[in-house]
Amino acid sequence: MNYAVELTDVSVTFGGLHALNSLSCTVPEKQLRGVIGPNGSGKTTLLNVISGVYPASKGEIRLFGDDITQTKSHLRAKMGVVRTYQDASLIKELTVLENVMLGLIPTTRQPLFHIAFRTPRYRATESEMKGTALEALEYVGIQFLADKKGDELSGGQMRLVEIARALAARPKLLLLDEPAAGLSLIRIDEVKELIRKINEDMGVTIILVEHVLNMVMTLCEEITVLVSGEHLVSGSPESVQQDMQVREAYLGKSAVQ
Amino acid sequence: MSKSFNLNTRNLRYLLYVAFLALLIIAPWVLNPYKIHVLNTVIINIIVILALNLVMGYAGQFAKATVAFMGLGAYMMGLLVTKVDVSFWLAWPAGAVFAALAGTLVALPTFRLKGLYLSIMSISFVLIVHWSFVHLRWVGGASGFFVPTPNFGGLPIERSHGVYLLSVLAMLSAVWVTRNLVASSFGRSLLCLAEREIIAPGFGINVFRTKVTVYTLSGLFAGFAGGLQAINLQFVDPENYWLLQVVNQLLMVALGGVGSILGSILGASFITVLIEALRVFKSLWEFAIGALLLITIIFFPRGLAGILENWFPSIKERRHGP
Repeated sequence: MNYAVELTDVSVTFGGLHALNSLSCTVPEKQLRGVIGPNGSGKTTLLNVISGVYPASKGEIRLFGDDITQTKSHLRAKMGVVRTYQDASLIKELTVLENVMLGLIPTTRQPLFHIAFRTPRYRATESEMKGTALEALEYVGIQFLADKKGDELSGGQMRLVEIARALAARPKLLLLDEPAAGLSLIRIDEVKELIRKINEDMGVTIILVEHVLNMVMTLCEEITVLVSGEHLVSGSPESVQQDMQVREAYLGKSAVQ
Repeated sequence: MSKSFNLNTRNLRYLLYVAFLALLIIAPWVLNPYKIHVLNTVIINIIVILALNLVMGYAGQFAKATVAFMGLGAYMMGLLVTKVDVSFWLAWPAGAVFAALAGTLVALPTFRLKGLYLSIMSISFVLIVHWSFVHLRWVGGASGFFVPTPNFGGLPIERSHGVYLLSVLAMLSAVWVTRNLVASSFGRSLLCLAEREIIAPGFGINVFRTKVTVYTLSGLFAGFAGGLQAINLQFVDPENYWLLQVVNQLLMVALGGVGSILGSILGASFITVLIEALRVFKSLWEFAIGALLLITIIFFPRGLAGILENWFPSIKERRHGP
């Protein structure tokens, strides 16, 4: 089997705190993998160490077979790793369209000389980016927001823009950090269907970190449970739900007994 | 209700640009030499404020070393012309490139420094450069040195008009290039750095390289402006590259509008003219400027350009092309 991500013995430490503790885990290509766990269990740290925001203190990270443990974050983005953030990270000074165009930097070369003197090459790359960004907005169903500023949107719209921005660059690995946080039930269903569509239509490997358990259980074929920075168990939604250790981690020991 | 003339698109901005340009071109025929000199100072300051706004406004870096870059450009140009006997037309770009290299140098510590510390570092750089101008005897010392105005060859223009027209040309180029930079992935990357540097690498932005690039560009612009200032004054004076100018330039950025080309133009024009108008009242203008800076920061955080944009939303800058 080909793996999109292989983590071997990965630790991330901040001072004395083990945010991730010797975590080993593999995600096959094109899988939609859910990651759950109580607060502070290291879910976001897992996304950060894969996207390169934090270096791994120990261990090895492979991306589609290549060792990327030492690779800088912006180069991982160029290799097709794209992520979203818990607080939708739109740039307020930019319009929605321009925010999505920001996501196209990994796949577009626009040399400074051509920008400064507005050469035909600049015009070509710029209008190509614009077209791709509009397509991404359309795919997500929010092309009518293109000219709004980043701070004129509702929370749900921001999430969708963020997903459009992530998609625009045609990622190979999409890391979603709580895309449903703070959304109404109807919006959650919309986002859920969107994630399913991205995974099925585009064949993008997705790692979904989410607190809305219902969403993860119905969406993902395999779920990884983290507790205190350690890999507790991975398996199908049913097997994870049955697992006594998982129940213990979420509900406490006494509730399970 | 029908509108015969639509101001809601980009018309208004172009109207402003055209009016501004027309005034610039007819100016030498209408104004006396003193007023041309003041106008020339305005134009040179616009270039410097664009340079400062690129780093401070767009990239959100609290570095204010453009004064030093200006000085380095002026000194390098002046020394090449007076001591090595190089033609102004070679010495001017050489000075600008020298200032750009200084920009690169100042950018290196930004890998570690942010906010207040970056601000302190850039002020220290201004002080060190000023100290060198004053204390190194072979660069002219505290009294500075004279610079001849360039030879415009066979062109049938008066010397002072020549310097003026050259400044106008340089300023228009600076505005055009800045406008191009802002409406590109580079410009959008700068805004991302300003608002949330931490997420920039996730978009494939090489944060360090982007910062080095914007500081270098800022140095280049300021270096060109420094050379122009020297030939406009026909003199290189170390006191023109000191802390007072840092404050003046900050005020131009703040009053005009942070991260705005129109703001750079308005801020540089307004403050330069104000300083000239209040010069007769001895040190009153220092007080006026301090008070103005406070009022702007508190009541108009987006400056004059911000006020205009509220009235006419169509003049807002575009951050994408083509």
